[in-house]
Amino acid sequence: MLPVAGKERRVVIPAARALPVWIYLPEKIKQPDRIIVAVHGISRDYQNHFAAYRKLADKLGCGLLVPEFSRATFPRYQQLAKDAGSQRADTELNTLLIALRVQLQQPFLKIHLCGYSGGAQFAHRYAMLHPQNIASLVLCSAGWYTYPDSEFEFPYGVSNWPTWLGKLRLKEMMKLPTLVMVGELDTKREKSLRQSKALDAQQGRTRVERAVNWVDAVNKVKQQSSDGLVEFRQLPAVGHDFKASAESGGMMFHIESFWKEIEREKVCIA
Amino acid sequence: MSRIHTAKRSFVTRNVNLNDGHSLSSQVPEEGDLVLARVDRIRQHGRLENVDGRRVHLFKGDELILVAGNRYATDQFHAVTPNKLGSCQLVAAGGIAANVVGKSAQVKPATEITLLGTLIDQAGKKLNLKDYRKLQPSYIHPNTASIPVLMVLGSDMNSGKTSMACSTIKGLSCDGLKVAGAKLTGTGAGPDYWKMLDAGAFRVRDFVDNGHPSTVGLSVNKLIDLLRIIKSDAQQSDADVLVVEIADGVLQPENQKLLSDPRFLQEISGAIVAADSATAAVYCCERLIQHGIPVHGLGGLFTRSELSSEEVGLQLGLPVYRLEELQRPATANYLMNLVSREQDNGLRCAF
Repeated sequence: MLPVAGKERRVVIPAARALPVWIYLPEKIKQPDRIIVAVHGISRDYQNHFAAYRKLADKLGCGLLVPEFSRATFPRYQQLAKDAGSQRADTELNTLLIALRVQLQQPFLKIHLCGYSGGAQFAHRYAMLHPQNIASLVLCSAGWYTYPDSEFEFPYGVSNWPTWLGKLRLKEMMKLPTLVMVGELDTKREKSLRQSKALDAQQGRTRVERAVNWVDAVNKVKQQSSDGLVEFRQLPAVGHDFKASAESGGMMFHIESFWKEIEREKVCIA
Repeated sequence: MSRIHTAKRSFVTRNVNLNDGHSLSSQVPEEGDLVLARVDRIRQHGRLENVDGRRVHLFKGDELILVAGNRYATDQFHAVTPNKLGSCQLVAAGGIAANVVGKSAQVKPATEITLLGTLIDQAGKKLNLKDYRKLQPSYIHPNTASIPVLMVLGSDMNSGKTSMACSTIKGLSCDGLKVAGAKLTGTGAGPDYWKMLDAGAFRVRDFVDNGHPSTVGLSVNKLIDLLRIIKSDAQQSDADVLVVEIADGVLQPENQKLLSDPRFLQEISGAIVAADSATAAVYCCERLIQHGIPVHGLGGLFTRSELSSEEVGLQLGLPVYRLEELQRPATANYLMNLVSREQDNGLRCAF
C-alpha cells in the first residue's frame, strides 16, 4: 500500500520483498512522472537520506523513494550484485518501478537517481544498464567508479562487461544529465575506501581525486557527441559525511538547482 | 480379446488398469469417465497419443479408448463433456472426447467420433480417472512450504511456456539439482509430460495423476489443493525444486482466479514468463508483479526477435532469457538462489 499524500510509509512490495523502501508522496504533486530515488551508502543510513530528500521532494513536487539495501541480501549492492548467482539490486529496484508505474498510473515514470558513497557507486552502474529509467543522475562521494573505458576491465572499466548483468548502454547513459559532488575534505584513505596500486593509478588516491578524474573521463566521452557535460561541485568544509554534506555542505542546494535547470530546459524544449 | 483391449488406448488413460473394464454401458458419460469411441471422419487430429507417448495414426472405423472431458484451448477447441452417447469429437490428441462449442479459425474442424459406450467394471461401476489417482489428497506433506516452486506462466497458449519450463529443468538438473516437473493446469497431453522427463526432471506429475482429464472449470480451491498435493509429492521424493507450468495465459478464467488468490501466491516462490510478443511479455509481467509474484526473467517466442527482446529489456529492466541461456547451470543457479530465498521469506500477498 502506498502512503497517503503528505505522509511517508515503509513499503514492502510483495513481488520485491527483498527490498523494503520508504516512500513519500508530497501533497502537491507537480511532476507526477518523476520520482526521486535516493540510495544510501554502506552504512545503510537510509533514515538520513529520507529526511534530507523529503524536503526536496516537497519543493519539487515529486515523490520520493528511499530503498533499504540490507547487508544480508545485497552485500555488494554497490556493484549491483555480489556475483552471477546472487540477488541483484538493480532488478529488484526495477521490479519496484514496474509496480509503481501501474499503481501510480504513470507508465512513463522516470527516476531522479541520487546516490551517496556506496549509493553513488550503485547509481552510476545502474545508469550504465538502465538509463531508460533515469531522468537525471546525482553522484556524491563515491569511493571509486566504473569508467566508460574499454581499456580497463569491469568493474574498473567496461572491458569484459559481465554478460549476466545484461546489455551495457553507455551511449544512452552519456545522454543523462549528471551532477557529481564530493566534500572538499573527503581526502582520508580510511578502511572503507577501496585501495590498490592499480586503482590509485587509474582513479586517484582520494574520493576527491577520483571524482575529478571520473568526471574528466566521462566528459571526454561526452565531448565526442553533443551531450551536455557532467556538472561537478566540491562541497566546502565537509569530509565523508552524508549528514554534514546535506546540512552544511550545500549538497541539497546544488541538487535542487540542478533539477530546476533540467526542468527549465524541459519547458524550453517543449 | 475384448474390444476394450484391442481399441487404441489414449494417453490420458495411462493410470487406469484396463483389466477393470468388463463391458460397455449405455450410461451417460461424465467428466473423467472412460469411453469407447469409433472414428467416423478424420479432421484436425489424425493421430492419437498412446500411453507410451507414440502418436498412433488413426483410420476411419478405428475404435479408441478416450476420456470424456472439457477443453479450453485458444488455438484449438473450446469443448464440453458430452451429455449423451453418440456423435461428438476428438478435441485433444491426448484422448479427450467432447462436444465442440467453438474453435480457432486456424485449425480444421475436430475429428468426428461416435461414443459407443461407457466402460464399466464387473460391478457395473463406470471407470473414471478419479479412481486411478497417483496423487492422493491424503499425501499432503505437513511441510510443503519448504520446497521452492518456480512457476512458468505465459501470455497465451503456444507462447513458449513448455520450452522455457523444460530448458529451466535442464539447467537446474545440469547444476546438480533434483528437479520435479509438473503441469498444474491444462488438458491431458503427452508432449509436455515427456519433454519434462527428457529435460532431466526425475519425476513429472499433472492433473491427470489427480483424476482430471483437464482442469477446465475446476474451482480455485481444487487447483490450490492440487498444487499442494503435487508439492507434497515432490517433497516426499526429496526434490530440491519444483518447476510448475501453468497452461494457457494470464487472462484464462481459472488462471485469473488463481493469481488473485493469496493462498495460491503462498505456494509460489517466483515466476518466469513466456510470451509470444514484446507487448504480451510486458503486460504479463506487470500483471504478475501486481499480484505479488516476483518475476525472475522473461522469454518465449518473442526472443526469436532481437528487436522484441530489446523492447522488453528496455521496458522492464528484467532479464530476458533465450532457451540456451536457461539451460546454462549459471542461470539455473541464479534462479534457484532467488526461489530458495523467496521460499525462506514467508508470507506474501498482492500489492
